[in-house]
Amino acid sequence: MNGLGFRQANSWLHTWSGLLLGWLLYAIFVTGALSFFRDEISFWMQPTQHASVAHADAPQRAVDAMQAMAPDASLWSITLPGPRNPTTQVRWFEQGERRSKFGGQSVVLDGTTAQPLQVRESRGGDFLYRFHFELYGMPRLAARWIVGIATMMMLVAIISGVITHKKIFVDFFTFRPRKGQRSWMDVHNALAVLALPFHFMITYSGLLLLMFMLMPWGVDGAYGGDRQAFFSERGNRAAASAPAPSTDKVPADLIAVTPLVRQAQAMWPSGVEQITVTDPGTSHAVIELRERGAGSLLDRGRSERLLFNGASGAPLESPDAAKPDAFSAIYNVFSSLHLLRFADTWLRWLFFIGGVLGSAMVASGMVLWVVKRLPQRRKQGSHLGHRVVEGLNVAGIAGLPVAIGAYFWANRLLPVSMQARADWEIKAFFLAWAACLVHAWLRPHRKAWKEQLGILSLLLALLPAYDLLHGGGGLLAALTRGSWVAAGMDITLLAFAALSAAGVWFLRSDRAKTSKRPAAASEGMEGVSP
Amino acid sequence: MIWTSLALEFCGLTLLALAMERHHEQVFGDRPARVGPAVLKAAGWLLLILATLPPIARYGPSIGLAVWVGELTIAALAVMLLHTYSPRLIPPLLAAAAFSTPALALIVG
Repeated sequence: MNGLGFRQANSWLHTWSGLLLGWLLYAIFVTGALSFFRDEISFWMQPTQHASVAHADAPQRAVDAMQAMAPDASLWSITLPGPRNPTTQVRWFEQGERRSKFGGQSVVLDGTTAQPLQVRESRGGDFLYRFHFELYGMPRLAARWIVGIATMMMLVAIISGVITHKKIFVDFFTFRPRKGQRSWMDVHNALAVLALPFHFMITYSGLLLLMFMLMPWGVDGAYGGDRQAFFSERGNRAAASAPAPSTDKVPADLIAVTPLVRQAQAMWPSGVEQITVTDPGTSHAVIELRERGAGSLLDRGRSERLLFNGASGAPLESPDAAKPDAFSAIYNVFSSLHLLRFADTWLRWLFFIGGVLGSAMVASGMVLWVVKRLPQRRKQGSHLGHRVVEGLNVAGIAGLPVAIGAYFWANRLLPVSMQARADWEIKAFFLAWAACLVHAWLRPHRKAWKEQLGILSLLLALLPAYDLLHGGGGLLAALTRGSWVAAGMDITLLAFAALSAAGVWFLRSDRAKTSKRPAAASEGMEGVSP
Repeated sequence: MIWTSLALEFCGLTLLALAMERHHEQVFGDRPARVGPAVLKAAGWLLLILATLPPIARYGPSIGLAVWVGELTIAALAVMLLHTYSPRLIPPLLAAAAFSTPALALIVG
């Protein structure tokens, strides 16, 4: 590296850090963008729930259903229908059973009738969400380390990219199509610069979220190794309390929840998300209402709660929210921007678009690496390293969405009663991805791109078509019901099918033009190494 | 509400682009500029700042600014693609967007 100027050194750093981790970063970006719609994807992957419509009486009907299903439970947790899922999800714990987030018994109820709905075994959007930061099939800690290091490199690539990009303001609105390498450079720059605040925020906050795991020494020192205590303090929540001893409990009817919900709705603009009832059916019953979302990033979207005596309806003292200190406020802003639990539909879409642009930015950078070296390869003949990057580009960039398409298809086609069904959905994902890798290696580069994008387009476009015939009316039924959660997924699938079809069309028509302009320009980016 | 801030951002970014020689030429050819680049720049920035108001009014400052930044990306992409593929559409779209904002602001808010 000796003799390189500052900008050239950064260019070198940008190129090689990008190449080394580009495919992984692309996968993290794609699954991360989809994770903004984790609940919606999970809902879409349960077609028996699509006909559910939220009803104003859902809270009371759910409580009545719980009284019939689990009268002797120690705790009921009822997640009410919301804008992201029009069903009611209930969970309960038997007497003496340990209360954990995923334990107990859980059932999904129709949002109107409160009748239990049959669900198929599927990981839904959770698989993509977990893959985003824990990959798959490896120890969690190791995977988080890998993702953390990739995130660090992403931050390095963003900073070195900005330094390398000489004319960031002059070229701000510039895109010069049909100029081969120059155009790829413009695409890469535009995708990076126009969404730069998003890219920086999402990378930095991702790093913050992994920070306590990658560098736990400060916390471990202060809290004597009890990291859970630290997070409890951060989140201002006590560790899960054990069930209270059952002394002088007498049977008592639970009061109607509708007036309580009305009272809470008057205070909270986005309404009630969850009702928790401890010791239902006894004189000790406590009804807790939790607010949906929150109005500020500073408190990490922590929602307010209201407590009532379940037998008399008298309000109990509610836990009050502490004011966050400066460090907490900053950590809260970034982590809640990343997790986006508070967001409404519009912000969720804006972030999804940001994530898609980020994926495309990483992808265009990888393509640029290949395009830049094409003239040299033409002169000197093929080269194993170059061929490997070409193959990995196709399988990484086009193959991953194909694998996601296969995952969705497996969700629809595998028999509902199949053993280990959820695992087979995931196996379909990896089998399809592996097939894409083999295909990319066997086929000529341009053909491989075209064929995989073509398959992707078909996979995505035919999913809504399949649902139209077999999924209870699919998109049309969802639109007539006004059920935008299910309809939105189908429309998005069609939009991405159109995008990948456009990619196929681009590869067909552009053949003559791109190959004629070999060494057009390294104006914008100088002296990228070999 | 969403449209008002998006339209304001579109107008602001278009003015900032027109303040640059390259893009002014794409849109108006070699006709001389009637308004100086300094004025266009100042007006562009002013509109971008104004565009923060609707999302802040709706979401509060912290989430509102995040929404503003996200919308800025979409508006900037639109401005860039229009300059590349149909620069002639820019004056009428600019006028339409500018006209739609006060009308909409009155109706919605």
